[in-house]
Amino acid sequence: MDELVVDNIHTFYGTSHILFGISLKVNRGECVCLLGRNGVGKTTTLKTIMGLAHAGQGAITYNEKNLIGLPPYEIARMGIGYVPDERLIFPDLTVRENLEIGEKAPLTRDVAPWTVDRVYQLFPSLKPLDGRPGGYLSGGEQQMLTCGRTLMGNPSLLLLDEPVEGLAPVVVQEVTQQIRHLKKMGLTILFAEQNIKFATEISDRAYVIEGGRVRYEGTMEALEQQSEIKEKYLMI
Amino acid sequence: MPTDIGSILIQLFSGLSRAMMLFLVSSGLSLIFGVMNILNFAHATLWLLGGYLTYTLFQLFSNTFGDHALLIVPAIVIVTGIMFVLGWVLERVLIRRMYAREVPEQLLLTFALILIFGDLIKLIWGVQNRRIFLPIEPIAVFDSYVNPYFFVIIAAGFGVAGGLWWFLHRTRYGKIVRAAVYSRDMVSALGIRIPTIYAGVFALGIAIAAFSAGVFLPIMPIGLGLDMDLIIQCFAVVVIGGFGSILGTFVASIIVGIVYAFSIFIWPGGALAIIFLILVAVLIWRPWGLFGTEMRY
Ligand SMILES: Nc1ncnc2c1ncn2[C@@H]1O[C@H](COP(=O)(O)OP(=O)(O)OP(=O)(O)O)[C@@H](O)[C@H]1O
Ligand SMILES: [Mg+2]
Repeated sequence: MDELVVDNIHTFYGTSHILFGISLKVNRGECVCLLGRNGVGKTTTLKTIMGLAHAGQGAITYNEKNLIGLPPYEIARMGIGYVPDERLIFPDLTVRENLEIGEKAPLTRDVAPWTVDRVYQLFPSLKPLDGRPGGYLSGGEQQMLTCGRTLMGNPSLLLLDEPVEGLAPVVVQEVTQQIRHLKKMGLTILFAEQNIKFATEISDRAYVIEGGRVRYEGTMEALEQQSEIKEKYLMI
Repeated sequence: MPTDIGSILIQLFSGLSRAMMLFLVSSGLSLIFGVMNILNFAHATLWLLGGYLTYTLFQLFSNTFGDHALLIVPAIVIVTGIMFVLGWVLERVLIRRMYAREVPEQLLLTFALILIFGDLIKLIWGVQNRRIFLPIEPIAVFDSYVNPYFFVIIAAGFGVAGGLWWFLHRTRYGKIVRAAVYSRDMVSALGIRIPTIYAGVFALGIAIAAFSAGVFLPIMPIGLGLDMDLIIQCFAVVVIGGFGSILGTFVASIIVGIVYAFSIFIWPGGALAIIFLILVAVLIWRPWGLFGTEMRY
């Protein structure tokens, strides 16, 4: 069943037209990737879903409920978690306080809610940093904290914006494992990525975006065969 | 310039209590600016309104229950509550329409509030100054006499400062407020109802200001125009301390309050000028204020 349906959205920043009719679907339990180079509209698509950017046209539904026009906190309360690429750690709150801010009761009672300890199990490197202010973390640690903070809200759909951008290869491998683990737990994931290699390791399907439009959609295996698409729209 | 220890101490106490009032009014101003990016020019006018309401309520209580200094306590508590509600309503009805607007429009709105509440005060209480007389005996300090009520004010100031610190650092709501200073979008995306946070911060700021006006009534007569003097000094405090920093606001209040109290002695007409000289010096030395940071998303 389609969990998230984005239908022909047009998003503007002021008067500049950024998205030109993006449509996509994400099924329950799937891991779907928005692939594209710098500045093609991946972040804008995620922000529009989250209510942080405004679609002038088009429809977005989550479990058949409309999202257009809702403020971000209502969208989050429907079960969508957003992990931004700018990280947006609260710098003068400690690691634990950052996690606690994200705390929100799960929508269904049949899943065990996330706790600070469970986040530390998933990201063991955060545990020794418990009392440290968020402003004093490395890039990788901030990325994990941002992700953990969103998980504390017990989302069922996770929007991840370039989760491994700027991370060292070893850390990328670690994050890959962690995202696979989240998928196994039943989370639906939609994430933005530039690098097809990393995307292939974790996603089922991809939407290739360029100039605010979807240029290709298909499974990762099918995309693998499309050398023309890859050359034209992606970084290889 | 006073040279004996007694009068120096008196200036110190009066400066410290003035510092407390500056802190109580500026902390709300700074918090509201830090969280919502709104410069509330009407803050001191609402402070003044709180003072008049406390005055009237105290008179009412005195007429009903007889003269008793302690009646000022329920009067202050009730008015603080009323002003919290008024702040909440103002934010929900008016201020929230300004978040997406440009600064000049925000200034126009808050300036309109100054005129509206100013006229309302004139209509209800007239133009003469009001104050509360409490039957308190001054106590001797060295060769001079000090009104012990100064100590009440200083204690109240430290109490509220401590309470505010505790609220911001130890409660979930307070931590959300600090998080919202950095990124309201991220706070909202975590599912936190940002409109409630905004209304709460605005109401809290107004309530603290009203509280300080009530606490000051026994030593300082209030009258129209006082709000303008106060708001200018509060802006100086907030800029010196660094916008959004409660600790900075506290330190700057003490500096400004004490400098003001002593300059009144040396050069009565120039007290405000001296404060602004300090402000300019701080801005040259640290453009973000003593405790302010550039860090803001
Ligand atoms: N706040 C904004 N105001 C105006 N234009 C913006 C704003 N944010 C982004 N843009 C523009 O919108 C376009 C799409 O940006 P977006 O951030 O969605 O790209 P992206 O695919 O996420 O890129 P990247 O891989 O670099 O993160 C870009 O041309 C960008 O310059
Ligand atoms: Mg992006």
